[in-house]
Amino acid sequence: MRLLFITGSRGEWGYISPILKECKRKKIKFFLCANNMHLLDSFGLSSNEILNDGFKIDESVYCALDGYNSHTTVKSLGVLMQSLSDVVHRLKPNWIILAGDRSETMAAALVSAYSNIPFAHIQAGELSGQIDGQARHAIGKFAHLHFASNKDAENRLLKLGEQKFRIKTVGAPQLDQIIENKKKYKLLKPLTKKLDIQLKHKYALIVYHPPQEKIESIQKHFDGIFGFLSNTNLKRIWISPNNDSGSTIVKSELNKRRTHNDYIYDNLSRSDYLTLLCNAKFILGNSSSGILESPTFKTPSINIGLRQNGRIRARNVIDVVNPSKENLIKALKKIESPSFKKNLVKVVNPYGNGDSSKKIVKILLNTKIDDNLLFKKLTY
Amino acid sequence: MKKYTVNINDNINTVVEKILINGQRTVLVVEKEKTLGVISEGDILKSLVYKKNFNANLNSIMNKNFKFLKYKNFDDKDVEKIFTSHLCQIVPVLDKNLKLKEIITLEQFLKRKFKTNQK
Repeated sequence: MRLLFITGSRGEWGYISPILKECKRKKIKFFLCANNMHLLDSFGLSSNEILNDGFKIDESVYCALDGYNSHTTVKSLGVLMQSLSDVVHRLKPNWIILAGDRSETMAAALVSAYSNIPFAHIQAGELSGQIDGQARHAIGKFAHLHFASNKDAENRLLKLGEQKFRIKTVGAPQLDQIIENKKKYKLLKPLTKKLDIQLKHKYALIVYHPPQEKIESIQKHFDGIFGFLSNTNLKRIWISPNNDSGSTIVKSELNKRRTHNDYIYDNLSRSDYLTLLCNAKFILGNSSSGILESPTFKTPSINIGLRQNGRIRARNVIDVVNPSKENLIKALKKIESPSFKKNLVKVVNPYGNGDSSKKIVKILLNTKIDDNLLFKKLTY
Repeated sequence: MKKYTVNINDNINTVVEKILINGQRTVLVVEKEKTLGVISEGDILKSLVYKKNFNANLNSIMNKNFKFLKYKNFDDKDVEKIFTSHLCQIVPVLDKNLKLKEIITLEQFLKRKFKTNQK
């Protein structure tokens, strides 16, 4: 058995690393291909985290063209597809494992499908906003196995015409690490010492990615966010955005508007990030972390805009489609209300309970690669 | 203060030149008067050794979460605390929007401290 994991961003690494740990434990042969943002200085060089976690990167594919607009994004995907085709040809894996809804995953899905190599898709069947949601469904059309994180995603895959035997509801693997180390993440002091920052009181964690279809809304969103933040005395920790189209605008707006209360990190290790998420007063932005990971810590999440539209969410999430100053102040008031605090204690994460990676590896080992698996029948 | 600052769009070459001029092993990275980060000699060496890139964007090298003093809101103890606990050569004094108002060098701090002790 030869598995090939392909990943392009720090977010996906959270999905994949617990599965790789399980593969290591079970002595399964696997390869790791890192591409796009993992390899870029300006996006935090998260390949270092992969190496620090004790994994070897077998293939590095540089593909991102500077510019980070829609034109260069598409061109970069073309470069990635060309290179991945060579990687797959060289390594000859039995399975390819992909995660999420990003454009790199979409490119890898096409390469897998047309190379006639079965691939499994993690976080399959969910809804996400804008073009990411379309990419996720399109990836699902090519996937040979769907690892759904909950019943909602499972049902959607069935409705989309996928055969039942291909759909495995296993939870979200990125929660495995969180649940295993939850106690460790509560300790904020060692991290503030390491980062050399002072966080005497609760702080806001902000993760804002460019909303792809509405780049012009970035300024409006920042008006609202900074207007709201100036109304509070909170320190704010910003995590720099991914390299999607519009990311340079986000970074430049952040540089222009930041005050002495803002800390900016291009890339934190996953463990450091989760410690910040665990101890924040709230997470604000449009990252999937606010939907998928914050419920495990019972950290309130203010989800803005449409990027996470349609995803199933726990009761710690407050949606603010139009993040004006007034609407965000209302959201904070809600977070501080006794009824919200009371409900927060009871929050259950709908995306899994920590045993997902074991289930995924077991299924991959036990799934026979035959014509039934390789030749898909669409039921609708 | 020009000898202590570079623009965000400058390159490592300019940073090295400014450091040679100011003699403080550090420069501040600014854009339209706003201070965005700090680059030390160490940051440049790290960039050259680990990233092997002489054309690296300053945004990817600079320390964005640097130490500074708040304009009209600090005393000698704050200055001492930064210099003694962070071993830096210069400390910028910034207003709440991170506009550069003043720079205090380690040399200035030590001279002042020495004079006070002599009295």
